[in-house]
Amino acid sequence: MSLFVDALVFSLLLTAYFSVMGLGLNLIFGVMKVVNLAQGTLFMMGSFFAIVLYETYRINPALSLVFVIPLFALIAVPMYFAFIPKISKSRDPEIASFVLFFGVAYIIQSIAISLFGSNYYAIPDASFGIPSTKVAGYYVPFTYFAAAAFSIASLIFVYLYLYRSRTGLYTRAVMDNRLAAISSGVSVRSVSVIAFCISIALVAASGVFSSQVLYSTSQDIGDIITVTSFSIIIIGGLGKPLATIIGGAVYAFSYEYSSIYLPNFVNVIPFLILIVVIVLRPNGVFGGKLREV
Amino acid sequence: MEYSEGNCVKYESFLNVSLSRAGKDALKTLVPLLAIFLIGPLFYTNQFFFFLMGVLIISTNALNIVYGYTGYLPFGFGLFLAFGAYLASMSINLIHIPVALSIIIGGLSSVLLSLVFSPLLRLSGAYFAIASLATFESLYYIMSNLSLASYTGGPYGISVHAAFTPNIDYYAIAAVAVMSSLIILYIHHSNFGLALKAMNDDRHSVEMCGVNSHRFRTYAWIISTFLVGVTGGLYAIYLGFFYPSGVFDLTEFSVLVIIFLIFGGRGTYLGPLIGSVVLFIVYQEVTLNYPNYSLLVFGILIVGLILFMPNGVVGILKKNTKEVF
Repeated sequence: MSLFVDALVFSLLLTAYFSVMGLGLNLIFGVMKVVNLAQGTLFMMGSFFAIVLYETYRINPALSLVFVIPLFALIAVPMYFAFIPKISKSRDPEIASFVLFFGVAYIIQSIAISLFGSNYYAIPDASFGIPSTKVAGYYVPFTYFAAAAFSIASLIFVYLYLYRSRTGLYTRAVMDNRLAAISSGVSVRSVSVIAFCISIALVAASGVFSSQVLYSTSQDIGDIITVTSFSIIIIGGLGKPLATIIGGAVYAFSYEYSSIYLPNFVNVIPFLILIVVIVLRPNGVFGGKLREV
Repeated sequence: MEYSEGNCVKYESFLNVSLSRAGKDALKTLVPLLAIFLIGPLFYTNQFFFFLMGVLIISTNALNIVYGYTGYLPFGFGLFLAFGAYLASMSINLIHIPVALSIIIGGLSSVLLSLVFSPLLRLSGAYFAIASLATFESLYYIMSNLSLASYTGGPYGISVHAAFTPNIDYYAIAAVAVMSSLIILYIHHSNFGLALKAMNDDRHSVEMCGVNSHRFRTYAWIISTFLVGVTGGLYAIYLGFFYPSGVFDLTEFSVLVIIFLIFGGRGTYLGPLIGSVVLFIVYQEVTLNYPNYSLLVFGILIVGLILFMPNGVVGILKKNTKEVF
């Protein structure tokens, strides 16, 4: 029974974290109809960045966010102008971007290999200097609380941006109906650049906690992170940023409970849920109208 | 797009002077194919090189049926090859059936698996691409799972050394490669292929003409996955022993195949052949001589192809000189 409670605590703590992993991807898809398959490798680079800062300067992972977020938001700008305008004009932007960003992922991964080799790295749990907390008879490392706090803050930030700011209003307009937004004078380009920067920064920032919360970081975690993020946003609903939270919750709970009750299949269960959802309710668990071709 | 005038004219001429046109195209694909498989080994004695090239030619042709003609991109396409390889090996090991039958079983089981995806052929392509990627990952974890090791061999790999017949296998793969090219030619010259291309451009207009787009796409999808499943069975038997990561190789049997197809030119009958032969040689050179740079080279190649050469080699040749292909 206490194992059950333990898994409940961890799933609740990870729900927001998984949501933020998928949130950036969903924002890009919603605004630009572009699928960013380099998601996982950018996540990995964020993680490596925090590890390097900790190993060389002993910088607290939470503090390294201050460096990671602006750095990756800046990297996003040239990335946007190099790829997105050209891709948006192609005949099938979704599929073209799918392949293109896989190429980008390869390039980023080869950079990671040349910089860090193929070893596994992680930041120790003691890096925060705050001891573990006892919850329901089990010790929960402080990093889980830190990751949850960061994730909830990010979710609130994205909510405020989308629903309480003028640019957010434009962003939602572009998501709803691109042509109508253009004809009302919304600058699709500036909206897209901002969404792209937010998305990349969020992905890299969530990578900062991954070596402590998920598993050790190495050059090859990109693929599995990308597929995980996709599962999360599809379970929630493609192109609807805040529905990602539902996907994050389903993913976190299925991941934690299958790691206790079906440990051999912990990597399979979330994907099976995804496949069931995609076949039965392609527009997300609470999705409405179907997206047709 | 290009189908609107060019293919309609071609279709008309196919009805009238059908055999001469189709026969010419058949010569253009079959002569190089047979030259590669029959004369190639005389000059370069590494049979596995030509075998693997055959596997990739078939995969590229099969992907062309789905991605080139219907526009749906199964990103984890290699999963059908891997599934065929596993089912063929398991049926030999567990129920001891003849090798030829086991290869057919490999193909049929891939078709069964592919039918799970058929509802997605109504939706936008992103769902299809992502679902196949997720199925790839989950199938890999299922096949390499320790608790199923008595059936699949789990992480220890699976052995079919009793059925090891490399020479027969080599000619079988050559035959399947020829067959896959013939299927592409048929699709290219038939009503079926015309309908597939047209519904990729404007589904609603085609449905107004009385074509059931979902059913046609499903047919294309079944043909494609059957070819790859059979190839997977042949590949498994040629290897004799393989680890799960040997067939569930996202780079080799999924991504590489997509690059080959886009490089050659999707939706053409000669493109997959050109792409897979030329880039396979490049791939072998790069991975053998500069293994550290293979990811970088292919990453740059993908980005360059999508940005600057989305129609591939055949697309460029078509633009410059009319009536070359």
